Amino acid sequence: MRRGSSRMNSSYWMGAVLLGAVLVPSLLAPWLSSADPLLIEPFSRFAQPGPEHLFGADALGRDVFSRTLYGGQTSLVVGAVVTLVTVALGATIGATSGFFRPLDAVVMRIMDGLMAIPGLLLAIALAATFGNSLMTVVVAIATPEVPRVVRLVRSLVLSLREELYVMAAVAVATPRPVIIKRHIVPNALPALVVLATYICAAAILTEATLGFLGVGVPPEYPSWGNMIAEARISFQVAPWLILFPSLFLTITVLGVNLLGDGLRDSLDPKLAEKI
Amino acid sequence: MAFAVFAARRLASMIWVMLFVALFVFSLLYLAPGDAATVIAGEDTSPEDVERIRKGLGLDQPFHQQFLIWLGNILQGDFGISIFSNIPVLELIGQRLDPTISLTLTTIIFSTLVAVPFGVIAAWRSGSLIDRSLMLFSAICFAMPAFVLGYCLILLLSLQLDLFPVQGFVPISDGIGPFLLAITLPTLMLGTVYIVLIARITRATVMDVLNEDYIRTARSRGLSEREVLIRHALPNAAVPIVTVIGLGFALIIGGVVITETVFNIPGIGRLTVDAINKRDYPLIQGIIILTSAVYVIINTIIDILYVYIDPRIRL
Amino acid sequence: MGAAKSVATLPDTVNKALEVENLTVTLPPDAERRLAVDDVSFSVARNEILCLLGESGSGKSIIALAIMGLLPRPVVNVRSGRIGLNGQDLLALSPRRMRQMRGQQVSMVFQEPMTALNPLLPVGDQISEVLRTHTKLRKKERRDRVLTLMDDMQLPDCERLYAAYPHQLSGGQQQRVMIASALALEPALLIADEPTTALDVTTQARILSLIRKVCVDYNAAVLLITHDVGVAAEVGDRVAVLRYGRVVESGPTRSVLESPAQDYTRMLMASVPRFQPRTGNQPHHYRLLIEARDISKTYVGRSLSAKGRQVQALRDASLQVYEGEIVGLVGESGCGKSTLARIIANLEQSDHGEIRFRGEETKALIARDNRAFRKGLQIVFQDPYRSLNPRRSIGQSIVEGPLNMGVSSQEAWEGARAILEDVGIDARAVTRFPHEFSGGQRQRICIARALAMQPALLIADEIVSALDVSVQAQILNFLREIRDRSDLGVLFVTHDLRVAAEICSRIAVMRSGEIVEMQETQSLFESPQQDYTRSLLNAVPGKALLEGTAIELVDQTDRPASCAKAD
Repeated sequence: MRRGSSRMNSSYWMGAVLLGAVLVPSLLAPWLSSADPLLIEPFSRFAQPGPEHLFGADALGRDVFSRTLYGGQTSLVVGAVVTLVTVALGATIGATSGFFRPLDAVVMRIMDGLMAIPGLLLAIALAATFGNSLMTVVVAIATPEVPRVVRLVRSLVLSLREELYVMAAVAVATPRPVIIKRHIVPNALPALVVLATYICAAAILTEATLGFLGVGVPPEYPSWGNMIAEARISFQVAPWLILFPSLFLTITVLGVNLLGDGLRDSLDPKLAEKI
Repeated sequence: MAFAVFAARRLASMIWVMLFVALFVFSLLYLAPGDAATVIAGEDTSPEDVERIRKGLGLDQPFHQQFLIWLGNILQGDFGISIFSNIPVLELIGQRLDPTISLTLTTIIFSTLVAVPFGVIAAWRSGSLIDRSLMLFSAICFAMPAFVLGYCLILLLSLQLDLFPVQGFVPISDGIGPFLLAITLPTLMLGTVYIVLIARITRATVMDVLNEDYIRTARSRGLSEREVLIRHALPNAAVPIVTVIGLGFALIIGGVVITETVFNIPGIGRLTVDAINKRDYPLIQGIIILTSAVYVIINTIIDILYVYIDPRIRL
Repeated sequence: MGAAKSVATLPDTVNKALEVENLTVTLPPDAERRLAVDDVSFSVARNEILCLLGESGSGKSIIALAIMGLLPRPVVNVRSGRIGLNGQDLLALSPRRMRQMRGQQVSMVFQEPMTALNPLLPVGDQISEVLRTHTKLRKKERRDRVLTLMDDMQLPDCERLYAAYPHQLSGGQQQRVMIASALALEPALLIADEPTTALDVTTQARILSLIRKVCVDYNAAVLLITHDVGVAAEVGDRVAVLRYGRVVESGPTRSVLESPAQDYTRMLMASVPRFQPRTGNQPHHYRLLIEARDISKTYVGRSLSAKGRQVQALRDASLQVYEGEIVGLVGESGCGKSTLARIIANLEQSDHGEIRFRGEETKALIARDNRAFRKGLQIVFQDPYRSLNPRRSIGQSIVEGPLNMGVSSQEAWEGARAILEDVGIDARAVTRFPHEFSGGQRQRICIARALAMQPALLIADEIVSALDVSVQAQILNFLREIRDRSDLGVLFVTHDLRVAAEICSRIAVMRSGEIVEMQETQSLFESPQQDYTRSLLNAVPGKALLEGTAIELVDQTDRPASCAKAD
């Protein structure tokens, strides 16, 4: 029996440190970097990394250090918002489907249909349809992830309903809403939290990919995906333009994923099978 | 008999799923902000042309009738005409099929051949150097966007070492050597996440299976570790591995779009990006429906294959 | 336990196939104790069955794996000792040589035949595997040999069965396949680790007699590991009693079990349910508590592969429980006894039939006053590990019911402490969580939760099946005590006739969804009306021993008066 949050393991801590290493500078961007991430300086075009521009400057002469930090804000906001939306929506639909059998067949058909469309394709189609806005990007990234949450929550509800301790609660006349609140939700939460971290990582990656394909967040927000997309044309002359945002992106996603792995292993070693 | 019923049920559920996909794809156009005819026509079209398109698409009719007409056309193989190039969608897709199919096949074959043995060894020697490096490698690959990996490969293997061409595609009819040379880097890029996914699942499943009682039984009979792995562990791990190979196909479809963009390969992926950038809706619809159909068919076939892998499913 | 190192001696040392000397096996540093096996010595001759008898955690399975060379190294290691097989020290062999010994010289049969067989291979091929690995026989010769073996194991229709997959065989047939594969090369030593624990009692009897037979036919030494005194009494020539990794006492089965020299063995024997109805189980009142009439239930398969398939779980089953009596509901696995219990508790719905609780139809009662019904009727399940919400303290679990009934918080918590003391658990543990308790303790907490409602009827669904025999005895005593001091009626669902005989005044015997006979315990044992009941009674292992000397033994020691605190 290994249980309890006291047993946080090494991947948990490594994930937290990596994520912190990106999160903190991004949040402190206005204080860490004096340069305006949107300011175009024609004289600094393709400036090499140096004391003037810590990470160099891009094709328009914008400061890459500053853009990378502000880009982190965009990525993390998108990741967080997508995760919240997906989990809230998915958990509601999944729980409803698990508790009300008549709805179940219809809901699961719709989810099967959504899952039949390859995720990235669905995301770019949605992003292209609704035009460039932060909102669009969030919807486009969240939609393909919703079925994952629905399926997990539904299967958790279905299996927890059959747990003997739930039957025992029925046997002592505990009302249904209380059973859900007291016995089902707390036991479903760990798996959901872990899945949420994986969705957050996937969302940050997809945001970058959409930016790379030209259907990401609007250019007035500096984002890692947009930076990489713009740097693509000149990557043979100025590879650092791709290097820095890519590095930050990779570290962030790695951090979130490790955090998820660590949470999974410390909350319940058997979770790996469920997700 | 029971098998026929089972297969029929799977096929029926496949049809339901595809119907939903069609409905979704069709609604996409109507969910888009603005008038559908204007969206299709593009912004610089004269009002007469817009009206002509509206009539031509039957947009003056109720939604469900429009959908049925559209669906009927699709079932007859008529996916409409690409707005931008004025070529039938199906023909346009057909022209671009060759590079994408080549790339997809090389990736699936290469990935499976690398990932499964890797995963098995990692599971068998769990905690060893091989195992830990696999886990580290996979964690990094899961975190790195595919296009970043692609540029790293180009930078290192093409520009620095000059081993492979930077871009482009050579059809296999031009000779196997040039074909392989051109497709190696795209395959590596597209395959990495897929390899990592399959290897991880293989490792986890084989580790589970190695804890099963019948593995202990096999050892108690004096079988060598190699025989235990090949005769007992691997067949029992096959169902989840084959499942993830099928489900991971969605990753490949998404990855094709990025890979073809990075390597400038004239396949379906590039066509998709072009269609998206030009808001060529009939083309977008056609691509989504067809790729989803391929994805669903592959997974249905795999579901039916389980019956041959696992006798317990046979009834 | 003073007798840590007692070697079972036999006059004939030449014939000894297996000689274990001073075997010590270490556990990982974070385990509950340091040594899994502590200085254990014993020996087995050919044609002889030695039973290693012990409760859970006694180290008996570790000994088997040590002999097989299959310990989960490097977690568990042999530290010292010698394992001699035909004079050869197995511990000194190279891994390669040891591998050759397995299947050829020493082989093993496991507890769960279903999981011990590879689900994807035909069973014939799995037996044949031993021959393929160790001999140069051709395919045809191997097949012939396997068919002979299967025939020896009294398997029916061997040609057809050869190509069958494990899931198509019954549990007994699967275990016969396992034994066939273990004996294929006529090894010197056969280890059987709880070979009948997962099987029904009638199947168990047949497998045990098969093991007896092959021990002689194949001239093998058999090391049979069991927790069941009855099984040891039934087949063991000699027995070695294990506790905490040490041999407590050993010797010829009859003398060890009939006149145990050590306290632990005596306690163990006192805990064993006698195969004899106890007196004093007759009820004092005759007010009807619950009556189930003509309950039927059919399950319809829901999964994609089993859609529409129907299984009739219950067929017109009827029974009654009166105040102050314990009624046994006995049957083999899958007979529908748990389904009936859950339907009576209204946790599952019947297709038709009627249940009356204190004369009132339960459906109507629930519609009128669900709390009254729930207060009157409580249920305890088989699996204590899944019956308690892992995220709530045991106190929270116990007070849940009383709080629902409108009892004040203070009163409910006081009640919870009192009832915990009652079932033998320190009241201060009320704020602890389920994972801090052993299986037996958890089951007592579950009983406490049910009794906190002060029910009129308690449904006990296989509540002692997962527990060690000493813990089982404590819980049975406790139930008896409760019945005697209140008017509690108990429906006691069990697969074990011995346990039912201990505490039940009446017993209903169930088979494939039907109650085939229901009688007072005494008369059921003396004159069973049905063949099925008779076969169940005959199949009980170790009957002769348990019937003969039972009462005298019980009197020798103090029966634990109430639930002792140590598990």
